Amino acid sequence: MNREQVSRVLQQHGALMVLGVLVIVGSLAFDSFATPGNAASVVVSSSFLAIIAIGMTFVIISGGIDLSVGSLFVLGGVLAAYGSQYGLAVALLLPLAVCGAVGLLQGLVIARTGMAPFIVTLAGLLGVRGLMLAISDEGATTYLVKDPAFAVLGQGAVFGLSYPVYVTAALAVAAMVLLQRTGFGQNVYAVGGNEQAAALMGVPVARTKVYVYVMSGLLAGLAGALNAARLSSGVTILGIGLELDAIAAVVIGGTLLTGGAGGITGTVAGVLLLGVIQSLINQVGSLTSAFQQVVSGVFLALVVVAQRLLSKAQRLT
Amino acid sequence: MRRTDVEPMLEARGISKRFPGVLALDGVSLALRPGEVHALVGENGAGKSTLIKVFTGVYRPDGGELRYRGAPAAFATPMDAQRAGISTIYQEVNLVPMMSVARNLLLGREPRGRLGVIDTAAMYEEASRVLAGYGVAADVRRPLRTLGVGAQQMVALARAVSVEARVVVMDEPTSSLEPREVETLFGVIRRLRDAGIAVLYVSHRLDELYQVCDQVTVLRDGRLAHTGRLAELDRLRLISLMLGRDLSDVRTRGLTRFSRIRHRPTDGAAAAARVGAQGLGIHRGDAPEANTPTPSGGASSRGGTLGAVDGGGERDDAVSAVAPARVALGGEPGEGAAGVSDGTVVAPGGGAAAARPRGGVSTEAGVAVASPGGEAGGGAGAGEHGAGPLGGASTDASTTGAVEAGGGAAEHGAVEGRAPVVQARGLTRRHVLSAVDVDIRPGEVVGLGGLLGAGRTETAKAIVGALPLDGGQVLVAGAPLPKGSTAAAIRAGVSLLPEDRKAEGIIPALSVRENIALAALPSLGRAGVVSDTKIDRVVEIFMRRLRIKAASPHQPVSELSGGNQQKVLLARWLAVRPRALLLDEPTRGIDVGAKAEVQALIDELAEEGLGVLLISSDLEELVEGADRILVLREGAVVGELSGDEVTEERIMATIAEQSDG
Amino acid sequence: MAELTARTQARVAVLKPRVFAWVQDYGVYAAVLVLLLFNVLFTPHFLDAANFRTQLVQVTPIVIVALGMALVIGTQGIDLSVGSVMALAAALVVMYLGYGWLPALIVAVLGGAVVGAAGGALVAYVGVQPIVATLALLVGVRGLANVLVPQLVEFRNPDLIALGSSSVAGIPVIVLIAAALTVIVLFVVRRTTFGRQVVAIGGNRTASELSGLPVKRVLLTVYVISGLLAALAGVLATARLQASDPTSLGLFIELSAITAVVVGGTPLTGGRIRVLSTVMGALLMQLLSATLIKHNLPQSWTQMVQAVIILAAVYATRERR
Repeated sequence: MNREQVSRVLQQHGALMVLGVLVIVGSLAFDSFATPGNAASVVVSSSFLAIIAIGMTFVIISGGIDLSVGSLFVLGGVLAAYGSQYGLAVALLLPLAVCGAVGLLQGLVIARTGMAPFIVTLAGLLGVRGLMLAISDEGATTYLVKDPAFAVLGQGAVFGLSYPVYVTAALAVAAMVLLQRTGFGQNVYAVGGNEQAAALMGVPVARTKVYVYVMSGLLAGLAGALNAARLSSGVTILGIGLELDAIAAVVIGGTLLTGGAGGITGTVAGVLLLGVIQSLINQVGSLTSAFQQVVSGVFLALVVVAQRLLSKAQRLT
Repeated sequence: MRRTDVEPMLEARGISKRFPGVLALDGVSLALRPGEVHALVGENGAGKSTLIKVFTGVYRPDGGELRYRGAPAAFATPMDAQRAGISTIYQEVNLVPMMSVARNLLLGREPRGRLGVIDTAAMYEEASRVLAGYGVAADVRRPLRTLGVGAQQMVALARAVSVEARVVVMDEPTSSLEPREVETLFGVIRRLRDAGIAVLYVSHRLDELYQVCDQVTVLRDGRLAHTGRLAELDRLRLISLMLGRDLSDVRTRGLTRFSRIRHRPTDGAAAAARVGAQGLGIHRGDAPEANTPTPSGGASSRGGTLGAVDGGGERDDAVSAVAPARVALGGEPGEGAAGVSDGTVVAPGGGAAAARPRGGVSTEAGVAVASPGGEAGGGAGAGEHGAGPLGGASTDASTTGAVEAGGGAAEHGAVEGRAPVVQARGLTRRHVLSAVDVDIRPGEVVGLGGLLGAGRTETAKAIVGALPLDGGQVLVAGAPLPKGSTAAAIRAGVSLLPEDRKAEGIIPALSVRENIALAALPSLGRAGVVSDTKIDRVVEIFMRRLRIKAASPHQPVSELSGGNQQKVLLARWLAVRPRALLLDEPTRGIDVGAKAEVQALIDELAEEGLGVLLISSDLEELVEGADRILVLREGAVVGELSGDEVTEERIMATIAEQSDG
Repeated sequence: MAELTARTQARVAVLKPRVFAWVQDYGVYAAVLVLLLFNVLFTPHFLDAANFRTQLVQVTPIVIVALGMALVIGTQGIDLSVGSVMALAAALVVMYLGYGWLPALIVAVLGGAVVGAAGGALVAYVGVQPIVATLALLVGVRGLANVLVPQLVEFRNPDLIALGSSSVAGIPVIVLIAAALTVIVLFVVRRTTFGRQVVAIGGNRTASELSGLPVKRVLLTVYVISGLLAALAGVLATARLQASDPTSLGLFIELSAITAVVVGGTPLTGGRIRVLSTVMGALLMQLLSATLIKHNLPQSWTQMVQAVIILAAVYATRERR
């Protein structure tokens, strides 16, 4: 393997490798780390972030960013809990419809006006949070999940893993196929890799952009709904800053923030990595959870520096 | 061989395209026939890219008709043109670098397997198969960018052709290819031709054109300059068509052009008159006063000199007096000693050797006679003043010297003898520059000649450290410059006026004042606090002297005309008092008046002892402005012209020389 | 008929850029004026000095952070780490309060400068995009602040408390400090070599490099200044609270600061820094939120209106180009 290949493999699978190393180190260092219970708790607590991060992966590969997903996650939860009084279908469809519509709106503004995705979705973050507060009586009302079938969706478990984990896994596989094996996926890569060239190669640039924001909105809403089902209520204070975790996971997973490269496996590895770091820090016991943020931040910085250096190395060869 | 009576595949009939203020295409016709490779050539601004964009649906023509496969056609977008069968391969590979080779090649046409999902195995197989036909044996699963540029170009070509192309437009496809890759490309082009595809091939590499092209169309200034079979056109003739310096009429036409405009030295200081007269390159003012030696004039300060430009602003017909001298010169081939002696004889003011015998060549004559030996002296002496048939481009520095001495000749060698202020040694960058050496002496204007893409801009950028190099070194006043630091080059006194004024020169959001002061800021204040008084003074001086036309110093620079923007950039550099200025196409895209002023300024600057590197695609400007010319071809210096070799013919001949292989 | 429409269109074509330019330059002042007028007419007790004081004190940290943000945005960058830097400063200031308020303040501000330098180095020298570089800091530095001071700590240092609560001539000291900082930043932008270079780099980085500007050093410095200002805002906010709260201090202030800058008409594309308008932008958002609250409209409305104002402001600056 030459240097270019090494750096490419590192870029694509670096997160997975680090994840493997951490799991091994954790298992050796802590008796209670490599237990089924602990593994399940890491996986379950990571699943909601993973769903959001999958959507974010599409957005970032297309060269954009979506800051509104944290707010959409909360809104989705509140809407699902509110809708659950009308039954399972409403509990699921209401958040998906609203969050998808928000994504559509953002996507249209970004694709049509050429305004920076960063600022449009920042406005989305604020606006959606306002909307969420408006329907929850300024956050004072916590809707409880009324539909037991819906609650099962979040709480039921098979083989020790709750349903949301399976939903996440299914979504990850579907996203992988979508990204790697469909024309839409190719378009997403092309738009993020070189928008001008993509247009000349016949890619419907604007439509592709709109789709990724719709997807991101839908997935954030779904994650929120599943989380509400798990908690049996539409909690209004969760999800603050979740967009940043999602971006961090995607970037750690090897997806370039400049767009055009990356993948779902990396993102899933990135999410799990953040979860494992959290779990390891919990194992140490004497460390507070704040320490996890420090490690995540340092890790993120290292990853982006490494990515810069790796991409330079690839360009030189 | 191929017959021209075949129905054209794609045809432009009298196409015109107008942009605000510019007629980019003026009634251009071109017919691409199936099974024919058609070369499209022309210098910058000739309208090639506009024409290509009309063909490929980027622009709609304002006049004329576009016909495709025998019927009128209008393409709304590049995609429309592409779907119709017109594919384009751009100079910069227009693919997605981070996607795999196979995905790039087959984007939008991927083989599908079950459930409509892309069948990756089949995709890789097909991509490998297609690319093998183009001599690309790379792993198609790897990202495109890991391939060499040549292979990437092949992928682009394969993609373009595989979408049922009937016409393939190639815009400088070989600009970054290795010789071996070029051969492969030519193989592919010949195959396309044999398959009945019409190819439009744009390149500046003459060798290539003669290797693969059947037909040629030359554009110049938006008009059709020539169209016909390439084999019937020799190289020199082709170059002269491109550069618009038709060999047969170069002298007469050049002369008439000269006498059309000129400068009247007003009754300012004598020095002013002199400078004004000679200053504006084009119209070597030849009023009698101009030739009068004025000892004080020689030592003219910058202020004085610049003032002269102001004085010389108006034009009149004083030149008529000189015209005869020119004509006399014109009669001579203007080569070698003949030219020189001619000058001596003819130049009216020639008696005073010291004078700037603008009309003529007499300066050189003096020089040549007086300092015949001297290292480079003799030849170069003449070279300095190498006034070709077009009437002398005498250097200012030399003039100054001459005037000061009042006796000219001896002083003349001085410029030659002076240590170079800039010495560039072996500048090398893969595909771009190979071992380019440039010396610039104080008071000397060194011209860089060559066709587009020959490495002129790159040489200038390399000197100021703005182009990463694989090898080579730049010495300023004997001291090496640190690599890759433009700031260090500027501190050492070497500045670049970049070719792309908008992207690399002006800062559009800032005012004229801020733009002028930008590079000199650290010296225009104390302890990091800028002194508005100092800035205002500098800005005021330069705005007045360079006659920058702006509503106020606070007007955003983006609102100024091109010529005034260029003057703002010149002012930016003059404000840092450089030792050497590299000027990349300083008069491109600016109006005639501003052009003359800029050219005059270049003369004056050299006269003040500045070393100047002048890049210009305008041969006339180059010959008139430069004392010595380095001719570049494909990134290497292929000739150095000095003295009376500095003529348009010699430049063109040097460019046209067959490369050794 | 057709001619008429054509003429109208031509007039619109001429007027539109001017209207946008006007909105970009003076829109924020006009909006503040309108809101003030509205409140004077319809809001009881609006003109009370106490009310003004409260509003100003509340907006102070945002103004200070936004000043640094304006510089960063002027270089086409963004600094997401400011809220975490405030938290870090709050943590550092109580940790070192034992040595006296001044040393503690110096340590806190230095801490901010170090964080800024880290972000600046990533952006200028490594070439990481500003948004990720400062995102990493946002996450990590907030964690660091929490590690240093895990929960809210009240303090009794009288000097620091005085810094947060005393007034001169009826104007709170922290408001005066913010005003002084505004003047200083204004001076830096308008009158110093550095300020000119910042704007030039934001306006055209290639041209600035070719003009020999120390581009990397200037970028680094800009992020250091942003860190310094954020840390100072953190100390002042802590002084006012009379408690150090690294967990929640400065949360989302980066959004408010970006909003203030953008609403003030500084384009995200760089090349222009509008200091006073940025302060006005912060005041506008504060006034807006106060107005809605005073008229019994909930917080949620403020956020939705904010979102619309941000989009409109960015749309206006976009049209200018």
